[in-house]
Amino acid sequence: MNDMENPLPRTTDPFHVLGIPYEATDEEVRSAYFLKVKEHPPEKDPEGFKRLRKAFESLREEEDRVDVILNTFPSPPSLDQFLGAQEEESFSVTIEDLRRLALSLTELNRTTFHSDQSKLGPWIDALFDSIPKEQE
Amino acid sequence: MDSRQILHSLDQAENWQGILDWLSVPPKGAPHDLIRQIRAECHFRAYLEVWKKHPSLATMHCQKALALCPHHWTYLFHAGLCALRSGKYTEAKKLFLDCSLSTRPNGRSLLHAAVSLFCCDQITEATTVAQEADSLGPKTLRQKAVVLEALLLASKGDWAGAKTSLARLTNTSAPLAETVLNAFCEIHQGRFTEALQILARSKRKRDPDLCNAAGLAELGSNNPLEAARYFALVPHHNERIRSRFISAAKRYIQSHSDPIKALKNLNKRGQSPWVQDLLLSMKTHTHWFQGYLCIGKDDLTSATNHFLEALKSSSGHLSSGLAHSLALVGEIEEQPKTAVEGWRRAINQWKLETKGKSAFHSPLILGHAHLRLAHGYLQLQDPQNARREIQRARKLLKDPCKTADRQEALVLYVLEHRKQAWQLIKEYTHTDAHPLDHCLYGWLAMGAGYSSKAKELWTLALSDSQYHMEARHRILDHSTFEYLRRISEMDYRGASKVREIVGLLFGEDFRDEWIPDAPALDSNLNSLVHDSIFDSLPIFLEKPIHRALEELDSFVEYYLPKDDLRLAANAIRALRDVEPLSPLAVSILASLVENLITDRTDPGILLADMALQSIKTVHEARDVLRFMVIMTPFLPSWKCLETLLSRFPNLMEGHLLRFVRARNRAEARSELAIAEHLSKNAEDRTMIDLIRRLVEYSS
Repeated sequence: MNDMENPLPRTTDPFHVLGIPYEATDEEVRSAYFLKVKEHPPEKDPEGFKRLRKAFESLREEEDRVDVILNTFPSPPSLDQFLGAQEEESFSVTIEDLRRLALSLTELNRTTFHSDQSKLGPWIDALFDSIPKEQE
Repeated sequence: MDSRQILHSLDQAENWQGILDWLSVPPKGAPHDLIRQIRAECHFRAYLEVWKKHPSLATMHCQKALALCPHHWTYLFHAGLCALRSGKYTEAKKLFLDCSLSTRPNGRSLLHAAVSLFCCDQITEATTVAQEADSLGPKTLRQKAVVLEALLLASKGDWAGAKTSLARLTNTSAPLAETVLNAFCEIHQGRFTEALQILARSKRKRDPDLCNAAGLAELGSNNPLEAARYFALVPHHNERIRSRFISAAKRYIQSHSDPIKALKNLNKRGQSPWVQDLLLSMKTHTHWFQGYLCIGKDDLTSATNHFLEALKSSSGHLSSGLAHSLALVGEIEEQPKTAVEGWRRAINQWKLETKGKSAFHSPLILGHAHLRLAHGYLQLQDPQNARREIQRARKLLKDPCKTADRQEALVLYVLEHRKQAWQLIKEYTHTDAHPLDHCLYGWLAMGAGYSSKAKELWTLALSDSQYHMEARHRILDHSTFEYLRRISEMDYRGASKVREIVGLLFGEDFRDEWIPDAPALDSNLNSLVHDSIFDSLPIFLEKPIHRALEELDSFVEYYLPKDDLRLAANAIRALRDVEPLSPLAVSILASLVENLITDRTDPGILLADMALQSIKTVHEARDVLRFMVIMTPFLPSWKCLETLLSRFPNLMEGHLLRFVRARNRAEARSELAIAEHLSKNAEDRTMIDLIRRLVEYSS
């Protein structure tokens, strides 16, 4: 671990360079490194290899990985991810728009339904008229 | 009152539950059907009463009514509406179709059945039912049926057919849906201006469907700001509109040179709560993103400001990534409060996030984050919290950990358990440790009284050529601190030991320049001591305030020569943050002011004025004046008195002092009268009365 008083924040993430997740194990780090070295061999791409080597060195041990994770500025997610919104939105009229419009034709927005009520009074009278007097 | 009257009065009072309760034991011989009908109607009335405020309770009442009279048209229809309201389209479809098959098939139920079928994606069936509704219903209902038919055609991609169908409507009282559908037809053909013109004719400007259509048309016209504003008018949260609002706002922000200003433009008064929440989240993200860009440009100050702004706008919920960024800038910018806030929130957030998914939940990472938090607390001179965090870290890290031990040693040092601190750390003091670690270990050794060990460790630290300068700086810094601590504890032997070690490490000449002899504290001090003390003032002020003031007091008393205005300025700056002024702060302030005013130079008087600005209340002003009278052999200077009285005209003691210095008898009388007028207690009044008598006697 680096000196606590001198954190070395980074914006270039070695995990990103090796293409591995933060929870990668020692073995996964090694495998990713060797796989990447095949893509960027030192004789063909010395700069690329140097970058890979540096990333690998900084992630080799678990303690080193902890150090990297805690000292790297996490890149902000995209706005859509941050807001939990869908990536792409079609700006044409969709069937959902038409359905929504169809629903506006219904009585969902109606505020009163007094005309749908039946009168209870006559039923109450009918009820008591139909039973013998002593029962009432 | 007989039973019939009771029921009638319950009906009058619209007490449906009362009627239902009464009917739970019906009179003997009462026709079962009639009882059932009355009970069903009572449930239906209860539904009508609560459907706006309590939809689920309303649905329950409606279903009970329907269960009692399963073929009742009205109950079937309203049960269908309940299903439609809660988005249960299949259930709604079945209920409306049942309704249409009942004894009273009419346009109303058919139209609803057609809409439900449309919602269930049964477009062909929906078209048939809509056509039937068109033939059955009254005029307004038939118009609606025509619009629905047009909508069904549009949904099949037959926009021309939809438009032709709408052309059948000639009446001006056509529903708003017709206007919106007409606009949709134009939008579909890419004629956005025409769509906007159609929508502009409608009077219902805030209708959600109209706003949606206008937003789409504005987006098509490449006007994302207006589009976003239209989507924002939709009052209720709707995933589709929310998503469109985000896209429009994103387009607008991207097209704008200043994203923060763009966000402000999007914010308008009277927007729905869901829009306000969204804009706040967007502000958080924008500041986070801008801060991240600043990090890439090494502009850490701007980055910190952006992260702090993001923190402000994130109401309650803070993303762990943002909190983590805040913690890192806080550490780099040496703002321990920011760092502590960042680590605290980041740790809490990491713990809340789904377990086992992210590396941030690994105990090792969380443990080290706790240690970083402890480090922040230590910088804030809060050893208790630091210790708590270290204990949390230890639980997570399990094995003995150098970082945790080192942090705890520092905490113990601050808590004055210096021997324990050394015991904890001494096993790490092997020769191959990091040179800068040796600086710290030396400090801890010195604190525990092992000066030769400290010298040994510091020698090791200085021997590394790469870190020599940094180590030198740290050792001197720590030694100054240690030296002053020993002095304050009257441990002159310990202090001279520190001096001796510094002399041995850096040479005798350097020692003499570096720190004065302990017994000669009031002699001239060199700038190194001043620098180390006053550059650390902010750190002192993070301490419990009485300790900071004690230190400041000793500096002012011993080290404040009249000609060192820089020191005075630093002390004043420090005092300005002390609120309220304690007796010790008052004494420091009084010393400073009198020192500076008697200096009689312009900067001195300016600084004295600045110092007097630290006095915030009349009580504090009174304390300062009283202290000056008691402390100094002379009365407070005229200038000081005038400054105080101009700020606090009701300061009785100030007028009394003016009385003492009055240039003539009339002025003296007037000041005494004012003082008397301002005196608030019997003691003051007696004193002033005594003064008056003395004056009269002497004259």
